[in-house]
Amino acid sequence: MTAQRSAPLTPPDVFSGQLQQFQAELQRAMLQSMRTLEVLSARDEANVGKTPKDVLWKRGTAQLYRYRRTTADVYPVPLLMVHSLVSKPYILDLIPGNSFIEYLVGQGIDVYLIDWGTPRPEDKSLTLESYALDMIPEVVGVVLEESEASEFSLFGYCMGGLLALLYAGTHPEAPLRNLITLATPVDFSQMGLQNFWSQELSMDVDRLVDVYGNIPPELIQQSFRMLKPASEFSPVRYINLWQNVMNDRFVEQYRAFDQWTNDHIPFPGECFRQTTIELARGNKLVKGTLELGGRRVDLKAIRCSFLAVAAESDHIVQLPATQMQPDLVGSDDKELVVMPGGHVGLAAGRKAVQTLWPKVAAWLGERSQTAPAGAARRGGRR
Amino acid sequence: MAESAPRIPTPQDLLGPWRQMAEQAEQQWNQYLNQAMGTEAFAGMMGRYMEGYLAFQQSLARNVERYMQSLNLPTRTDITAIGERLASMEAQLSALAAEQRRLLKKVEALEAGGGAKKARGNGNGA
Repeated sequence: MTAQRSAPLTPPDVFSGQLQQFQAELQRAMLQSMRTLEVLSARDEANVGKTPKDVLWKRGTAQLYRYRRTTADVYPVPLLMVHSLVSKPYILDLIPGNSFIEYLVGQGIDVYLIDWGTPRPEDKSLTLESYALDMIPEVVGVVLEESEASEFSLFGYCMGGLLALLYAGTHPEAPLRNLITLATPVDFSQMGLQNFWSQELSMDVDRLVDVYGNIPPELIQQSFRMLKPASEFSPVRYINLWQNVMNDRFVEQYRAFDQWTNDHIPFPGECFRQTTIELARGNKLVKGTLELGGRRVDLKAIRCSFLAVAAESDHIVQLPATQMQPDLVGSDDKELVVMPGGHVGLAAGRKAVQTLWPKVAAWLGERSQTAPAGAARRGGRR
Repeated sequence: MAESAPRIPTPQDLLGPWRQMAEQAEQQWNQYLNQAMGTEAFAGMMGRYMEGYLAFQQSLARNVERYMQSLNLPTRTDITAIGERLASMEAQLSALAAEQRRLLKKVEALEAGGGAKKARGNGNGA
């Protein structure tokens, strides 16, 4: 062996080893490329929204789910999650092992979710009032009844957070214990290009709603894509997939994310008109002049514990549009958490799994121990 | 000599710098295009394009509706109107069911209260 080592290597010796390695690498690269093409051309649905649940309430396309407990002890204050009106809620229950809802249920939280469903043409007349003053209050009644709780927590992602704020701002008497918003826009003047394109010069909102009824999902998707136009043609995401394509877990997650980002739903027309005129153009929520069904939306009337979560690099709801929430509400116990990453990553990204979910669960757990009114009756986790 | 022999770069090695370059280019193009799309000229153009497209859509919808009517077939508007009526009935039913649940609870509470009173009354009498 020593004799072999001391013998001088000739160039063919050196390169034959390197060549073999190069061939192996090339073979691996070919395999990766083939698998990448396979993943990109797959037509079957990703395994999304699988946390076991029961349907408790239905109205039109909307449904209320209650997720089945997986722990012996459950906090006495249930959590009602409200999703956005432009996307499907399975981003909150993405895939088993990477699901925010599954995680919360595993932490002993009694989770309910309102799934607005896919609006049908006849839903074009739904307004912000339909959600904040009609459906959410009705669902809250069902949640309190089912969980036999005297208080509840509310969570909203993106526009779902806005609906949660509108509900809380018009129902100061509601037994709301905690309110959490995730990537929720409030200051629409800070929404960048989206706000600019909502003005009269770019969009005749009345004409749009009158012609279409509901705003087609393609239009909403296109407006999001136009915020990062070059990313549509960029090879970066494909490189990412190519590099990790042999990791089944990564592929499963990639497919679920990809499906969700292309799975938008129609936006109820009247609600879109209202959001554009009252919020995007008038910025009435921040100004405190927004009225729903004759009631002023008073964010200062929100006195419950409040947590706002924003993403540093969110290009859809930019940080300045969301970060002032704690200043707007009247709560004493309030907090803003700014996470690294983007809009979608906040709900189900790797960093969210590692840091945000434990943070939210801990924050909620501390504030869901006992309901003051029923403290003696329930006495902590049940 | 074997240790210092040049290593032939693999596809994985080449990808790193290329990816970095692509990321930078993507960011720069996004910035540039966002600037271009944030101008009044672009907004005006978008408004005009949308106006034209909506006019086309509206005229198409009207023509299809007239055609369906001439064939004595229900139009999209008719179906939507039926859907709206169904939705309204569903909402009313849902409200009635909620009211029924509320009343039922009240009755149960009253019955439980009445039972307790009766039991107390019997106890006092005995």
